[in-house]
Amino acid sequence: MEGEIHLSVETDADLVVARAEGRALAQRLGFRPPDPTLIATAISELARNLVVHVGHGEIIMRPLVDDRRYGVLVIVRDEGEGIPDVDAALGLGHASRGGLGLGLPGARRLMDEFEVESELGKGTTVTMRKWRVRDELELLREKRERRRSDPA
Amino acid sequence: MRLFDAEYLDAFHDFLRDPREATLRAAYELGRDAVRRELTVLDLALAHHDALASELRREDKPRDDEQLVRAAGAFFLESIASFDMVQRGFREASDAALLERRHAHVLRQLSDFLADASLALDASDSLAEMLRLVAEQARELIPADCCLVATRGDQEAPFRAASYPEDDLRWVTFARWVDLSQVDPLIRSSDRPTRSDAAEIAKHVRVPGSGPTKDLVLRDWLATRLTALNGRAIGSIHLVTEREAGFTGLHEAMLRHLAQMGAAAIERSRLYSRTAR
Repeated sequence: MEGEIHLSVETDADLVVARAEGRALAQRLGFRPPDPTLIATAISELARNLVVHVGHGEIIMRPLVDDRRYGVLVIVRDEGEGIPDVDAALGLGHASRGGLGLGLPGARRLMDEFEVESELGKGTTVTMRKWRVRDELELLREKRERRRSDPA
Repeated sequence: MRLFDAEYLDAFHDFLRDPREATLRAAYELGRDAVRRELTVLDLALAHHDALASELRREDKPRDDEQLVRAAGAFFLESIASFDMVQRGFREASDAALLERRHAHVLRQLSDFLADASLALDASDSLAEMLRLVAEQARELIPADCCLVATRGDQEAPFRAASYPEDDLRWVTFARWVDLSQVDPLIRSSDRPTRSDAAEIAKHVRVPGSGPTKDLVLRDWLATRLTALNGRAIGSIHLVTEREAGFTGLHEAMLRHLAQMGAAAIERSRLYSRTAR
């Protein structure tokens, strides 16, 4: 797919590349501060999990476009041990569920959509998206440009 | 100077000298570290302020003030991102605590409801009173415009009770005339509450000969069956709303609970009537 980014993550240096790519993609899609920072932070949290807990994994990033929104899609995949209790790992369900709120739950809270699929012994795939609404002016400009490029 | 402040100062200067992702990442790591050390966002702000003041005192090279302020802002933003993450977690925990309190309140209300229903057993038209109570309690617990409770039985005649805004002719007419015959089979086929959106409601719900109901916008319909102890369906309970927000998973759970208690109360009422005959 056009604009899709594939990264293999194994070291701290890869984490820096993933952050930079995520931030740049968000900026290209017109996300305004602090959103590119939040996206880079969410990617950092998941990339850190790959480096520290699994050893290696893969990050895919993709721009998303629909009628009224632009979005950043990030898929983080590993073939590690898997997560036994996904809800617990995401800090879901109880007011008193502990932790500092970094890591997986922290990344979830920074993004708009967040899904985790995990199978014990096979690995984990995290899919997350952040959206920004295209304003009216932007939509008008795009319409005008489309008309210019295709007068028929 | 604290160790954290010194680390922040070094990382800040590194970023200003060489602004790229690798040096910016240090700000993210410092923010994370500050959270782990249980420092506050004020501690971080002070460390940043001191680092910026130190940079402004330097006179060994020409300076672009605007660029410096922008770079310092980018570094600070990166360092407080971890605090933002934690704060969102705190908000989520507060919301969850509120929800848990709401659950407790609902359970108390349900318990009161059961007591009221037991008292109703002494009334001469106990089943009618019982169903009306179920409908009223359901509307009190779950934000709905109308609640319908319908029973059917092998030995008893079918019966229906409703709760709705009595000053709204649209709902009065709806509750009086709505035909549930196409909805009931859908509900009976599942032991979980069923939700229908506006399109499905339009497909399955008929309100014959009802001018005033034309203005009703039935946006969300939540219903479940009333099941006797032996697993037999003895009726159904329906909640309808015009509200945009519609029903939630919590409302489904509450309706399920209410239906179980309502079904038990209806069974007791029927048993009492038969024994009293």
